[in-house]
Amino acid sequence: MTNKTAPENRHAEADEIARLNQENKLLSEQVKRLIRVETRLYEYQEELDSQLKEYQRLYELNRKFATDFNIQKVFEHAIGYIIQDLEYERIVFLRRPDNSEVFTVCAIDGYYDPEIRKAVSGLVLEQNDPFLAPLLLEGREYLICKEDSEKNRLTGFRNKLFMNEYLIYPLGSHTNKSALMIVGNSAENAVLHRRIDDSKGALLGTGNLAGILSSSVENNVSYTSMEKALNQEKIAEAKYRSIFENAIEGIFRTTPDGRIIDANPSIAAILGHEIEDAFKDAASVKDLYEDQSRRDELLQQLSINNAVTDFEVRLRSKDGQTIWASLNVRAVKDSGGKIVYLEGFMTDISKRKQAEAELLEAREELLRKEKLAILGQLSGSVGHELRNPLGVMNNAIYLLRIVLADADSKTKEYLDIIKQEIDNSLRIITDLLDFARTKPPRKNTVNIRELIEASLKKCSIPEHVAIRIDMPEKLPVLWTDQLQMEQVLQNLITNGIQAMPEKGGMVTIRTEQMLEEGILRICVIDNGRGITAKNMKKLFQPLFTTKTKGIGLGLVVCKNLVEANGGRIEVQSEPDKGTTFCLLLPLESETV
Amino acid sequence: MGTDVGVAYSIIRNPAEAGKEAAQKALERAGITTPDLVLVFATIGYNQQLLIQAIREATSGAPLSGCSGEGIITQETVNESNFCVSVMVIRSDELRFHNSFAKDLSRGAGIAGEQLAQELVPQLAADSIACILFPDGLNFDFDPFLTTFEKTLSLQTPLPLLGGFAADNCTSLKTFQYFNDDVLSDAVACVVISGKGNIACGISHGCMPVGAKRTITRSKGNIIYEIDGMPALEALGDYFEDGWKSKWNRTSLNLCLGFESPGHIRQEYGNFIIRYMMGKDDHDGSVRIQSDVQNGTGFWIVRRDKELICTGMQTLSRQIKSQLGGRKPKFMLHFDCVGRGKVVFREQEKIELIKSIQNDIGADTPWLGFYTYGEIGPLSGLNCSHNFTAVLAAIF
Repeated sequence: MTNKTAPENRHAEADEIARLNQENKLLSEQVKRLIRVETRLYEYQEELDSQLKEYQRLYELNRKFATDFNIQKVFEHAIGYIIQDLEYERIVFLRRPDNSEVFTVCAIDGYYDPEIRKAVSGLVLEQNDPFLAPLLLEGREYLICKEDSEKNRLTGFRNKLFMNEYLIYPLGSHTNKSALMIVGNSAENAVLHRRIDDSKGALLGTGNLAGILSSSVENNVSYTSMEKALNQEKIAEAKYRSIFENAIEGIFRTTPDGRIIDANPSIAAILGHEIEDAFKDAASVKDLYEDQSRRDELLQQLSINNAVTDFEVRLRSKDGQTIWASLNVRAVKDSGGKIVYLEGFMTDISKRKQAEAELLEAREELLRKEKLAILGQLSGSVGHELRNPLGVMNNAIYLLRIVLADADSKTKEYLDIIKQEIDNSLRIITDLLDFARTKPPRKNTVNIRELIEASLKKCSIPEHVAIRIDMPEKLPVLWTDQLQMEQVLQNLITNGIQAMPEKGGMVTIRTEQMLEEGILRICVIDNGRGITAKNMKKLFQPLFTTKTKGIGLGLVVCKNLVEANGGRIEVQSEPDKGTTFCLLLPLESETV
Repeated sequence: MGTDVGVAYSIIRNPAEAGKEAAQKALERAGITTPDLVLVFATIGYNQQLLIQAIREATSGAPLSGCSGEGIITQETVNESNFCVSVMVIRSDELRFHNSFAKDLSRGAGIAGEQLAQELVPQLAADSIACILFPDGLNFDFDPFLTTFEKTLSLQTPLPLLGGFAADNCTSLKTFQYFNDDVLSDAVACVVISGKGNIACGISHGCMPVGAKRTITRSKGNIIYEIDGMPALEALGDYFEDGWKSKWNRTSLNLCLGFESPGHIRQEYGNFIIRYMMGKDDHDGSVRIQSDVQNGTGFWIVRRDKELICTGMQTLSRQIKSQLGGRKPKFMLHFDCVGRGKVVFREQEKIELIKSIQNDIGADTPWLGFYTYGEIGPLSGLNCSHNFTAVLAAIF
């Protein structure tokens, strides 16, 4: 233990007090410093929170903008951000449509007095307003009107915006500012909102927003232009598509080797398909041609000329029918002159072709009828004039054969020839007379068997031809002119005999009763050479004949006689297999 | 028998739409159309008259009370923006509500206390549970108000007073008190709750002293003129950052005064009663607090401590649950100091702090509160005002 004097103790005590005071002062300073630092920390913390929230929302906003090309919706999202996060009292967006020189209000918020809102909503700004020149012409990033701004053009705009302090940002690309963003506060409420000032920190939020909004506006302009172009293209496409789809003419595009690239519904319809796709899948051009040489000819012409018009071809439809088509085709060639594809129009001219054929036939028919009329007139007068001399000549031959009974064989042969030619001439004259004037039938009941036997007796049947009669036991009787029907049957049997090949054949006479129709069918069937399809059409035309010794009136006379007796005549034939002529004659009611 | 309660909020900027949205949703949630009471807390960005008008229309003109706050607290949101509104609608055949108000606080809080008490006396009954107060937070001196209020009521046992001081989002402009269609300032609005019910409440702060003791050397009422022989503002100036004078409303939140608490509340409340300096006078260098103070009173500079705030909230939750004794609250009222919001906590910290106590007491309990410029709540049976505290009241 140390013993100190009183002065020493006082001294020590004073030192201690001084030290404590010093420490107290130091502590006090530290406390003050601590409070200040903590205050600053809390302020930074609050600011950081605010900025983080702002950036988070800006990020979310940017994502919304990126997925929305509707600029009106973009502005609506931006309004929410400006009011809720940037905390400005009022916001006005103005837009300038393409080819317009004025900005009009397109989105607005923060005006809760209906009259003020209405007034601001009607705001119009001229693009060339000097007030906007710094933004639109001089490239300024923004215009600012602060609470304490001195009187200028901007302060003059306060009353129109109902904002005492505000910022204006142009939005869009550098070369096309098509929108304006105005944010700000009224004088009375400014203190409750984010203030308008030009410090870097204060402008950061609006600057960032203006940046991403500019991109959106620019994208929107591009998108709108693109959409417009696409719409125009769609309209044009629709227009031409409509022509393509609804054209009466077939429209096609094919490759040179015949693959169908495109074909309209008319093509499908012409060729008998229900839809063009099925047609495309089902067919290739080559398969459609009935005559492949015509396609080769078409390609040949196209290789020389770029286009061929009115090229008529026969095509095959889905069901095998022949379609006549007229083609107008253009060859699309590459730079080397090689045909890349063919495109053109096809018109179904089948009806025209048919009409032309019918017209031709009608003309021929007319001509023929004119001839026949003359022939008829001549036949009537000339026939009588010739028949009498021929009768005299026939009698003379008869007498000569008696007188020259012992003549040499050569003489007799010549007499036979004369006799045969006189008979031929008489038959021709008879046909001519029958053709010129068909006698009215004298109808009576006719026994069919007797009719057939009488007819056969008139025919000269060579040895190499067999005659077969196929007739049921019981047959009804006909009501007809027997002599006329004998003439008809004689003609048909003779034709059948003459149609036989040299090796011979058989002529069958078959009768069938068709009770329900009240008709009897008498058919003369030969297994001779048959008749071609071409000749079948002309079979009953006067003066048509395939025989060397005939004038082509026999079947015409037959047809006239049958029809005069209330019946009809039918024919079926197949080349090299034979021909069947059937007479369908009315029956008498009673049978025998 | 029962009580139907619904709470909702809106952050729409248009006051008419915001009021309508919050009120309609609250009614929907309560499943009622005509409430017995409508409680409203809103921030001051809104045109208050249009906001209250919209709520009144939506709630069929039911009795309405409330005030402006610095922010709102519900189960769904903790929002301290300038534009948020929360509405609680209550219909009950167990509880009765009487709303009232007193104007002209600036004439003297004592006068207002007496006037309000006189108006309430006829409405009080043996089953009156509590009186919820919403005084103007910019110029309210609680002590003279309490003195005349309780004297006029002349109750053997003081009627528990709870509530929060109306705030104005740190603009120091004007706070608002709501009474039916009226939007008042410089006033106190109130609701007396009576009937078959109880109240459980608790108070917590989270401040700790730093530095040496300071002494108030000259004061009058709630105005402190000198500290340690120096003008108060001069004595406190060193604690502030540059430019503090122009942003007093924010600066003062970071500098709290801690007075030694009376012995009878020390165990429940802690060693210090915290006071916020709600105003200053640059001419005479004085500061104004929300209760009276005597010359020679010692105090400490206190700072808010996040950890203490958090543990204090946990303690508060335990206290409330203990009083509830397993019973479910009909609704919760929450008055939290503006100094315990975004000025001290990060956004997420704040939300988690509030959510933790909400979940602890009941995530489905209708919950309404606001950030205040001062809190009111009884301690050891005595009504007190507080700063930098959270006051929770469960009505069950």
